[in-house]
Amino acid sequence: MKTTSTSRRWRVLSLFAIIGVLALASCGDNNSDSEGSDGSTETTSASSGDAIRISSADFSEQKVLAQVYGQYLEAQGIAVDIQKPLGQREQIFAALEDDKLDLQLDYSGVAVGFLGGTPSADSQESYDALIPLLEAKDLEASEPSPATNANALVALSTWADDNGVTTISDLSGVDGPLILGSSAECAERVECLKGYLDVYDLDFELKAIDYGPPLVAALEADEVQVAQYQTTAPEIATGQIVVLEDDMGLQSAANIVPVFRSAVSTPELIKALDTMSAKITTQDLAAWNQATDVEKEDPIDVATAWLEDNGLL
Amino acid sequence: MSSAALLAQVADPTNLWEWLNDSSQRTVTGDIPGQVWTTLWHSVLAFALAAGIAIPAAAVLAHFRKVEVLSTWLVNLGRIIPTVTIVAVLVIISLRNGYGFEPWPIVIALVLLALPPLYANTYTAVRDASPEAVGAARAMGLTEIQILRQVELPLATPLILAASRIAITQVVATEAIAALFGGTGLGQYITFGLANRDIYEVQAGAVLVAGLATSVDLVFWFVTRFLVPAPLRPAPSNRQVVRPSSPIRSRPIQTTSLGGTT
Repeated sequence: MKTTSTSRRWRVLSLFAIIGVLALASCGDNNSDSEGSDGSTETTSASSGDAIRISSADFSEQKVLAQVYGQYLEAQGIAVDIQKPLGQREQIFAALEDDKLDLQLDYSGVAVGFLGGTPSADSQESYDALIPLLEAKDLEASEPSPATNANALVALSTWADDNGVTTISDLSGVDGPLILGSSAECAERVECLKGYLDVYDLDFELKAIDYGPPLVAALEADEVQVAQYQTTAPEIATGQIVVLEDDMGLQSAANIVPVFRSAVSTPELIKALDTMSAKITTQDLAAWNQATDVEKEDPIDVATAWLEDNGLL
Repeated sequence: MSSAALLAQVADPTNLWEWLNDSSQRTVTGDIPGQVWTTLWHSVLAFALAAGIAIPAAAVLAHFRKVEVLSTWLVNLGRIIPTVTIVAVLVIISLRNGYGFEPWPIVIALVLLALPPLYANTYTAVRDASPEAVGAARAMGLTEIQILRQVELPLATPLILAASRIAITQVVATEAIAALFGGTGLGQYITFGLANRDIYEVQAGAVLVAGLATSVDLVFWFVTRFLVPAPLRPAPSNRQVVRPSSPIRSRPIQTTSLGGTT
């Protein structure tokens, strides 16, 4: 009896010991992580008299963009410091205002919406709306790129061909109701379900699915006929799905636009940014996403390879 | 359309009750009775499948004392892997094979969720059924299958039914995750409410899921009252089967009340 209770006690103790070790290990990880990032920030602010600090949102297209612009600026003789991704737009703008960051690559219409303005389907109008909003925060933007990553209504290429559909308006000729696959946020958005019902007057039913593999699998299975997706999705690069033209201008323009603090603005910087922006196309964005998300390549390598292929390095 | 009706459509609900009364809030997510029915039949189907697999398997294996550790470990996998993950993976497999979003991904995931409590409790209940009763039955010449069916399973019934109540309540409450992956059911209100920051929709979804799970639990409790052999039922407090002064806490078996009105 005595031995059993002793051995049980040992077992319980060793269980706690294991849990303790695991907890310590995870703490250690966190500590080293935060120390690492703190350390790197410190060295930059110390060493960078005038190095341009570049960061991005935390997804692969943004990481590649930061690398593409950063590596190009460096090749032009402008000192840069490409930092870790910073999460979402909220954190990025906070860092810009706090002088923790100098340059980021945003999407014009989305940035206008974020800063409280009214985005437009026209890319020039969106850009014009962006400038005064940035000025209020001592920020500037150089010329927008023709490359956009907008929300878009997509369908399988084969389905679109079979039904003779190239624009969203064409969908009214297809027997409904059509099932629209999108995240659940779509239900209340004018540029999504509400717009398709009210502006285009289409017979849509919404099916809530997250982006990515399930959405494409659902299109393939004909469980949904159309889906709200991004213009730079890798499946568009492969030709599996096509973007239906937004002929009534529901989606706001979302051109890539460099946003930077006025304090670091120089003619050389703006010239380099404009050159870079002019080179990037929507197809490039899609190809990068294919490389990083499908072929699991490193954003740094993807950026270097693209710059070399285009004779920019 | 009268101006009052127009106003009712335009004004957003300011509390849960108004949301529930305003059917225009559910043009995208579907009406409540339909979603209750979807959740219910997914749950009942999953529970029936799980019970059909777990109870016979556990009873037979427990009777012959076979592979207890291995089988329990295997069955527990259903609970070790998060149900959300299982649904996410199964939805893609189901879509690629032409079975659509529903009902198989969610039903299979719920079966895996319901298996562990059903299996573990049935196994324990049959294994621990009164050794005296089993020994007596064997001495009377009952075959092993007869012992299982006529002695061990009746003795195990209360525990199996208690486990069933736990299992089906969990299943109903968990069915809501189907809505995260293109499924329907009551989870729709939670998923859409969260996505579109409609707090009353989220509340309604939560209340409806909890209400349905509780209702199913009550129904099961009622069923349990009739399925458990009278001698094995816990004594109602108002019926004095055992005299308070009696030192023996066990009740005599009353064969008369087997088919009685209790």
